[in-house]
Formats: sequence, C-alpha cells, structure tokens
Amino acid sequence: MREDRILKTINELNKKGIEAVVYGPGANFQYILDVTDYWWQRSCDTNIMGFSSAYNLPDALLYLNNKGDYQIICNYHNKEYFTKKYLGHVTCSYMDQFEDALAPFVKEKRIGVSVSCSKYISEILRNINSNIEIVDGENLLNDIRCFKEEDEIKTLRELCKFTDDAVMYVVNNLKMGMSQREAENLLVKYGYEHGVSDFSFPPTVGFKTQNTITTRDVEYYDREWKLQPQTGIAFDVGYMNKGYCSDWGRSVYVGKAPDICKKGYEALNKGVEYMASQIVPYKTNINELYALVMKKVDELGMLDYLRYKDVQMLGHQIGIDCHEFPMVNKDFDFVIKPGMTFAVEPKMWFENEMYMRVEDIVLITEEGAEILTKFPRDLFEIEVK
Amino acid sequence: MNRREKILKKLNESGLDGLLFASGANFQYVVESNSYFWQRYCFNLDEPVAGARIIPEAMVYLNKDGKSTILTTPLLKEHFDTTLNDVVVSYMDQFEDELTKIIDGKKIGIGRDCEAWFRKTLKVKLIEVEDIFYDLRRIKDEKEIALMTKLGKFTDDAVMYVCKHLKPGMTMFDAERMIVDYGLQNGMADLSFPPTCGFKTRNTENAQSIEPFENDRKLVEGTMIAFDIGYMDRGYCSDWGRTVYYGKAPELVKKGYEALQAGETYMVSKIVPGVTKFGELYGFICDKVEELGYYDYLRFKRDETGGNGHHIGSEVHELPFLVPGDELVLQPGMIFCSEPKMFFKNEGYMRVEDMILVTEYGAEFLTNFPRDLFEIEL
Repeated sequence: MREDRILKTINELNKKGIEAVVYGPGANFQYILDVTDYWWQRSCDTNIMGFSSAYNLPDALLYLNNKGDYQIICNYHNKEYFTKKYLGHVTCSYMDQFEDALAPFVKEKRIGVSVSCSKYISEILRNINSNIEIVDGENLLNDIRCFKEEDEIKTLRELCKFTDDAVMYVVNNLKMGMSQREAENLLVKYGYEHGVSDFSFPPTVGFKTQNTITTRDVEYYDREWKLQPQTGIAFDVGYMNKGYCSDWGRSVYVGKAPDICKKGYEALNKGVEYMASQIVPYKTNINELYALVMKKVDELGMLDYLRYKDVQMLGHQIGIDCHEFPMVNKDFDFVIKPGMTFAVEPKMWFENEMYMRVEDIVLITEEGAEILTKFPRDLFEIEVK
Repeated sequence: MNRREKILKKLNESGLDGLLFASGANFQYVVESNSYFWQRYCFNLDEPVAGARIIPEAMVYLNKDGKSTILTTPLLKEHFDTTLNDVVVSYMDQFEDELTKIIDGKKIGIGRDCEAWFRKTLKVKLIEVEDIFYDLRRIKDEKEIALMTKLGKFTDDAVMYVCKHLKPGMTMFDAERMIVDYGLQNGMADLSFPPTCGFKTRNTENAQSIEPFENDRKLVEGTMIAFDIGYMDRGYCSDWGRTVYYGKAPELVKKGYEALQAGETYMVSKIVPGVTKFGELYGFICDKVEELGYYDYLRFKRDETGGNGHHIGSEVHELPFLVPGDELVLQPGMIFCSEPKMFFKNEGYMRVEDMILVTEYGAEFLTNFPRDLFEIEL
C-alpha cells in the first residue's frame, strides 16, 4: 500500500482545485499504485503527443478523490496485478462494463484524466454525470514524480548499468559491412536475452561515414548504410524494465578519427562532467545547466560544433516515462533538489565528418550530482573486423 | 481440409502473396490459439478502430507456402502454439524492423485491426481481406462448435441464476451487475457486449417506447424484462435473448411471447442445409407469428432490414446480417443468431435470441433456456 503517494497526490489535487482523478494505464497510474509488473503499452512520446501509443480502451482504471477514496477497475485477465496489493479496492469487471463499475464511486464535479485513453475516460465520465468538468490530470504529478525515492533510484541505477553493458556488447560485436539496422537489432537481442521487458524508444545506432551522403545532413540516416572505415557511430538507446526507463548516449569512431572529432568528443564529455560537478542542490537551477556545458566546451575551443545553442536544450527528467518534466533547457525554471534524475544529451555536428552525442543520466544527491551512466568516456576510436 | 489448408486455398485463389493480421478475430483464427486476450468490441464491424489497439502487440504473417510467423512481445509469447507457427519475439518499437524481414511478398492481404499502423509502416501493396475471412470463419469446426455449445449453455444458466435472484425494488443496473458477477465468479474472460436486462413496466412512461431503457428503473410487479446477454470465453462469443414477466402477465403479452417462441422454433424446423437461404429465415418467423395473430406486434416486418440476426463466432457480429434477400445458402457448421422482437405499447418489450447451429440434417438450438418460462412469481 502506498499511502504516501496517495497523500502526495491528494495534496496536488487540493493545490490545483481538482476533486478527483481517473487514470488509464500509464505513468501516473503506475506511480500511485506502485504496481510495476503490470505492462501497459508505452511510447516515449505518450505524455507529450497524447494518443500515439495508448490503447483506445483501458483494461484498467484508477479512480482517486481528494479525500483519499480510491478504486481500481480492472479486467478479469489482469486482476492479479492489483489484488495482490489492493484487495478491497479492486472492482473486477468486464471491459464493456467499466462505466458501470466506475459510476458508484464518482461523486465529484471536477475531475482530472490521463492522456492514455482520455477520449474514452472523458466519455464515460460525461455519461455518469454530464455536469462533470474534465481537466488535464496527466501533468498533475509532475512536481512530485520528479523526485525519485530509493527504490526508483535503485531501478534506474540498474538500468543505466544494463544499458552501459548492452552498448559495450554491441561495440564488441560490430562487423564491417553490417548495416545500421543489424547493429540496432543487436540491442534488441541483448535486451531480450537478458529478460528486459521493452525499449524506452526505438534505438538508434547512427552510422555516418566521412565525406559521404550521410555526413552532409545531420538529420539523414539510412538504416541500410553499411559499416565501413571512417564511420562515426552515435548511440541513442533506452531500455524499459520494472516500469522504469533509461535513455543513454555515447559515440565511437571506426578507425582512426580526425583530430577535430577526437577533440570534440573529449570536449563534449568534459562539458557533461563539468556541468555535473558544478551542481549545488537547492541552489542551481535547471535552466543554467546547458550554459555550464557550453562554458566548458567553449574553453576547449569547440563551441562552434555544439548543437542547440539557441534554445539551450540539454535534456529531460526520466523515470516511469522516458521524457518527464521539467525539461532541462533555458525555459524551465526549476531549482535542482536531491532525488531528481534527468538525462543530459549535448550533441556535436561535424559536417562531412560525423555526428556525435553523449547522453547521461544524472542523479542529484544531498551533496551534488552523481552520473549513473558509467560507460568509459575515453573509448572513442574502435577497431572493427 | 483442415483450417490451415482452407486458408491457403483462399490465399492462392486471391492472387495475394501473403496475409497479415494483428490482434483480432482473423489473427486468432489463423494462429489457432484462443488464450490470448485481445480487446474486443461488439461494433468492431462498423468502427474497427474503436475496440482494437492502435499499435499491434501481436501479429501473424502467413505466406503462400503455408509458413506462419507470429511477431509478438516477450510478455505474450507463451500464448502461441509453436508447432503450428514460428514465434518471433521483439519489442513493440522494433516491430517494423522484424516485420519487414518476415514479409516475403509484394501484395499482402490485411484485416482492419491496426490497419492504420500497417499502412503507415509497410511499403508493400496492402489489400483488405476481411470479407474473405468472414467466408472462411463462417463454417465452424468441431472444436469451435464445442466451445460455442458450452457458451450457449453457460448463458442459459447465467440468466436462470438472475431469474432466481430477482427482487422487488432492485434496479436494472443491479440485475445487469448480477450477469457480470456470475461471469466473473465462473471464470468467463469477458462479455461479448454490455448486457441488457431491459425493464419495461406496464402503464408507465417507460413502456411508451422501446428506447430508452433506464438503468435506475426499479423492479415492480408488471415489469417485462427483455434479456440481451453475451459472454466471451476462450476466444468465442455468445449472444442470447429471452423475456420474462415479473408477476402475472396479461393474456395479450403471454400469448405474444408464445407466438414469438413458436416463430423461432418453426423457423429452425424449416432449415434444409444446402437449400435454405439465410435471407429467407425471418420470413418463416413472420409466417408463424402471423398465423397466431401477432404480426402487428413484431418490431420489424417482413421486408424490413432490422436487427433480426447475424452470424457469430470469435466476434459477436459476423457477416452476413440476417436481412431479407440475403443469398447465403446455409451449410452444416454455420452458427448464427436469430433475434425477433415484439413491442406492446404500454405493456412492454420482448425479445428472443437463439444461437443456432446448422447440422448435416437441419439445424439445432445451442440455447435451450425453457421457452415456456415467462411469468416469474414475486
């Protein structure tokens, strides 16, 4: 029973003048109940783009009001996930009957709903009472979900380590002539063989070869492109397990790298390390972080190659959803505090040479910041047979 | 011919290179596994996106050589029979990659489940083939008949349970909840559609018209209850109807119900496999009801395209619907629902619905709830 999370949610409801929430399967649903083994269809953009990966119809619903009354409405085939922890608060019903099953509980007039299945949930709430005002419930918990608890940090730490190992496996198994697609499939294979339940997003093992069509345009990828000497590889990889996501980046170079790229990669990594070393909990603001990376990269003479200097976009919080709020850029005003975990992902672009990215997950502690992704920063030039 | 051979025959006749189905009735039919729960919706026919998932979590590709490959997530793989199908496991975000590798043709038949995703994802030519599959799925094999016979019996029992537990003052909602609870307590996986225990009380506003039913209407003496109930289990659906009267019924409606039941049994007695056409059936019901003097009360007349019936199987509504002039010749193995209705203004609304199996020699009911049970004692 997660009384603490329910109390936190009630607190947020009161702050926003919302009387109750009805959530379909998704991050808030998982967070409040702390049921991490129930698998819901996720996409890295669900909380941002809305409908793109949610089910049309929920196979589980959570109702919670501002007095702390709550009920889970679920299906016959998934009830075991919920009855283990919440016996007495579970109405097992059939999909077509969720409206009826929910109706006896709903007395409120202003109700927040999730993005997942929002169309369906809004419709049944209006059927229950046409005077119900439906408001956004998806962003209700952003300010509490961004502070992770010990168990959540433990899961994220394990996932970061797992992603480090997965990419090392790929690096060790690259072969000349292999396509980008095949390299990406090594990540699928590694995840699946180790029992990880999903990706956070479709992975990229981005190949760009010196002086070819691939290095003329930063956005261009050809997944059939074959690995050959003088290819820069930018990784963007995330796994999902036990209900939490990783998001991860490094770059390597096949063969002897041009000095400028080598210097760039070093500067990019130094930028991240410097930024992390400068964080003072309760003081540093999330909107200052990109400038810290920029400062170090500039000192090392590589500022021209750094991307997104205009919007100063550096990253995002991460947890149950791959992309959580607050985003890490100059427009989000948020003081950094212990328990926050966010991804920082600065990038560099060298036209005709390569594209490079580094992405780390940073954990804020009482003392400062710890980087949870530990893949060696000095591994850049690699030999491939 | 077994099921796989029949599908391949159709595939080869159609000039397609392969078939691709996501979670849904055709998927279930091809992979021959009925433990996997896909989101089902009774109006899937009209609104295919409404009940299906947007992104498939399981799909099957069958090529011309008869090789079928299921692509699914780690979580679901246990549901599928690996003797009949190859099972490839991947993550949802990678399905595009895996699917591209699996598909070996240029012109592929697809269904309507997750159709938008297929069209967005695949570059090959995609042709919708739901109709072909309605043709195939229409003839049930022994296993399917056994499952549906069991479901017919289960639904008989469920409504008998409700009839025995009716209490004055209970709402229509309470009665319907009994249907849900009975299913849950007895391990049914789902309902075919939201159940109706439709209350109409004589000489009230509620009995002035067929629609609407009121969920909070209370059961009192003089209430006619029209049941429309369907359960889903192990991948198959039931669809079921009877009517009871709470208290002593007026002669008119009592005789009306007898006529409706007589129409139904007469129609079944007239079925000659290989000869009788589906579109003729409602006419038989009309003949008998007319003979008994109740034709005026039938909700739909001879030539009307009302909701008088449909085929049934892994979806509750399978094609064709029972409309006048439908040319489909009834064949052994077909299972369809016939659902005639009557309305008596100021008295009530009544319906009967049976699942009917066409056999070698005629047809038989899979629903055997007593036809003479009408008045329920208070």
